Amino acid sequence: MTSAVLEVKGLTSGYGKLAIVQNVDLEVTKGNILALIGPNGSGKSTLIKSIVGAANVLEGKVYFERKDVTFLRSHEIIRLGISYVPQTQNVFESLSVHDNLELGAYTVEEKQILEERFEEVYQLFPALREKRKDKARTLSGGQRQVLAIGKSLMTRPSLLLLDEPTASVAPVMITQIMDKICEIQETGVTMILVEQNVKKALELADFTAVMVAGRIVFSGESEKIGDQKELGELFLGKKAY
Amino acid sequence: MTSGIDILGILTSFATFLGVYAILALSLNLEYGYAGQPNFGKVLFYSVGCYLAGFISTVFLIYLGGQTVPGIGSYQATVLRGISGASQPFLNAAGFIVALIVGFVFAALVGYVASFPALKLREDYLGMTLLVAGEIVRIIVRGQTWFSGGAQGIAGVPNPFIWIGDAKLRYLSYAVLVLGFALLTCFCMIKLTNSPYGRLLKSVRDDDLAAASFGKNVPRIRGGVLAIGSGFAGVAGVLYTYYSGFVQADAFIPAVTFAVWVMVIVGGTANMKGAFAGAVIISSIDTLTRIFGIEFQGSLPFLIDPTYLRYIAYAILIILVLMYRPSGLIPEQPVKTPAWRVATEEKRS
Amino acid sequence: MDKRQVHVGIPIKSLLSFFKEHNKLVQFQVVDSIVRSILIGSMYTLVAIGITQTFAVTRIANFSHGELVTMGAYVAAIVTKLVSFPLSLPLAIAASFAVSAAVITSIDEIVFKPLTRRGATPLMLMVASFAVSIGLRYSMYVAVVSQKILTVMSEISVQVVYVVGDGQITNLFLWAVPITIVSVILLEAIFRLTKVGKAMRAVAENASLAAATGVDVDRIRRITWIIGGGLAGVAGSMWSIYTQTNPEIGWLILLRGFAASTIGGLSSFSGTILGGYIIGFAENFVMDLLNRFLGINVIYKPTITFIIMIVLLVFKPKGIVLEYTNLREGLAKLIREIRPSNRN
Repeated sequence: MTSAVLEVKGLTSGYGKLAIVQNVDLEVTKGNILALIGPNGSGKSTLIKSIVGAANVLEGKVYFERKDVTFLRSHEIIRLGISYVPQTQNVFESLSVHDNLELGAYTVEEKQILEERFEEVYQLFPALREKRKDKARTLSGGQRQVLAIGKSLMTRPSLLLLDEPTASVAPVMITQIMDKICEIQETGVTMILVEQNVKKALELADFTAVMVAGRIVFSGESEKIGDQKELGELFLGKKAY
Repeated sequence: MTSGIDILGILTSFATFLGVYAILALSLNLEYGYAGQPNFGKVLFYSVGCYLAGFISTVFLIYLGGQTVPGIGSYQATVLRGISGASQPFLNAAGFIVALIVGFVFAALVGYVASFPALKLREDYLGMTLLVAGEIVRIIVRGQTWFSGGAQGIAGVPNPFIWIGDAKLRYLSYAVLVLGFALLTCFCMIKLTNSPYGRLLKSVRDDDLAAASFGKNVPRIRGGVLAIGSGFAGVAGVLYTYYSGFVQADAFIPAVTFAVWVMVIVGGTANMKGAFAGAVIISSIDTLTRIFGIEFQGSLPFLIDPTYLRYIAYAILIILVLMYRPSGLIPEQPVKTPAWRVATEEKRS
Repeated sequence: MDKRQVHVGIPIKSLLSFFKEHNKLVQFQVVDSIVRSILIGSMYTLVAIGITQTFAVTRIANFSHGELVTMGAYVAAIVTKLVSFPLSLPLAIAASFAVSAAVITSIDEIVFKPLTRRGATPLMLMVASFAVSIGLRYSMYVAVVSQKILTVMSEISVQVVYVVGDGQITNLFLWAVPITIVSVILLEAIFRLTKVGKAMRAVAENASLAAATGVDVDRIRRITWIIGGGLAGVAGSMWSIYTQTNPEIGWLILLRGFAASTIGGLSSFSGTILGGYIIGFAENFVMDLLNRFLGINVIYKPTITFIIMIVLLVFKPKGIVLEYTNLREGLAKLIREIRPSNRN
């Protein structure tokens, strides 16, 4: 009996009538991190967007905790317990750090719970507490990433989708963010992590899926991916499982 | 209610409107359909032709003869224009021809100047700019009573065919003339667009940055297109003024520009047939609402100006087209340059 | 007098002569001019706020906004005919708000939203809003002509309450200006302090991120239209007290509203408010000055506004953008920009 938090079946999606993701099957089990790696333009971001309703689904289905969420609108999906951190432009620059977090908890109604969530996020990322009145545009790349992740945690999601969280971050902060991702996992959050940096992705993730030209060419435990050479062949399309 | 419906009269007025509208639609089609310049100030360039028609006819029929009137829009001027035009048909015709030429040139000049803000504006900002510019000019010109006749306007511009005794024949002849001009405009447009110039325009429309990187002088191209389109709009203005006999500043409102946009969008952008189709549809609605106005006005307890219904129809029509068939009735076709012809023939064989 | 002065003087003089036709020199009454500027500026501000807000959230340059003002004016006039003062005033304002808000929200559902979903470009949306404006205006013509109320005014008479110098403070002034100020303060409070307000700012900045954050963008859109349309209606109700209404007033008021909005770069709330009063002063105070001292006829009043608008659109489309919540910072930046560096 799978404790699959997310099931993607035969998904073909993209923008308008253009299909970028081609017939993808994917599964993520509770409490695990799935790394989604692959060359540029392979459709990783589009796959993530399809899950949260930000891309056009042409065929297939997406199930979250057994519910069919394929054609739900973004804010309804967020309400069900999924959070999404886009790769770029993932914070509201004209709003303060505090306001960004408050918006993150937009779906939270009760004031008491809201206060608790603020506390949780500030404990996880103390730097945010210091800067809470500052506008998000005054933050550095790394700090913004932290804010974006913090914002996504305000709803206490069961599934967190991170699109290249270390992309525009200074090397110093990358380790910090990776550590935080581990901490978040320890609280029981299931995650899908899109990453360009294969080494780091394999370090963090329990499972890995490799996506090339819109298709999944490997999906399984991270250790089973094997040595670098095989990975290279997977990326370049010589070998497919 | 009239005893019978004057079919010839209706057809004649339909044909005249069709001709004028077709020229306007073709000009906007060139500017927006081919070159991507959203001209929201079309009525401005059209009005240049109208004002010049009124002014030049007065010059020829009154001032040239050394006569003076209390004002270009005065009752005396109106009467004098009529008398002078009827008794000196050649002078009137000469004035008409001069007005057409000067109208084209002057309107083209204004169009070229209006292209300057087009250099760096996003399309909807540019649209707004031209719209507002049109309104500014309207207000200023309205105040220049020596040129535009002020709030009153100018009346009694005589038909070039005024020497034809039978009114029906007169208007029919004029309608044929106007349609002739429309076909001439169409011919010019076809020659312009089915050529490397046409391809150039489309390249500027689709990706002006790329065009510029190929060394094309984008601002000058845009200026040129707006100039040509405006010139033709001016001609349309002259043609219409010599038909209706009136020029009045308050007629040159943005709603007129809107009507031209309806023609181009409903008919289909970037093709001549589309522009003509749009013009046919608009003139049909125009004529039908006019007939409605004359025939059914008596049966209603209140006075509804057919203009109201006409514009409501345009609005609904364009919204429906934008929603369900945004490419218009007749969609865009490839540029038929000689090179293209050779290529497609090769493909066929 | 050196050559340069002559060369500039002559063209300017001849240019001015274009505007002098039928000039009517009036006594320049300072206080009266200022009072009128503030009154009309307030009404323009109400209209401009709606334009800016709806543009920020929906990215649509809504040309039918002016017709909402006209509608508000007619509704107010009708209400004041049916109900007597003093109840008629709040009732008229409320009715104007409600009707205009309802109309524009419906238009959004029927026209703008479907078009946006089908991928319409900003220009197409502008054309569509223009079509809506024409459709509404001429439908109004049919409606009011059939009811024989083509030109009406509200049955609330304008009375002088205070006299200040050569100016008069009327009861209309005492309603319109506080309503504007209160609306502005209320909106600012909503934007800064409430969840909905912050969501509106979020959608204006980045709609897809807002959706991915859990904000119901459609609902925010609807709220924005209601506020924008409603304020336009209220401006219309004030207008119907001030002067005669007819279906054409919407268009001219719209252009003033757009001009004011452009001063705020079509995005800044405080910039728009400043813009509304700048336009109010430009058309009244400045126009009176030009009339009194240069003999320019007052009918050219809209020209000042339109020139401001074109200059801004062409040279400074971002407007005199004031930082959203920090007025002082924005003003300092503005002053720095206008005044060239003194360092050399």
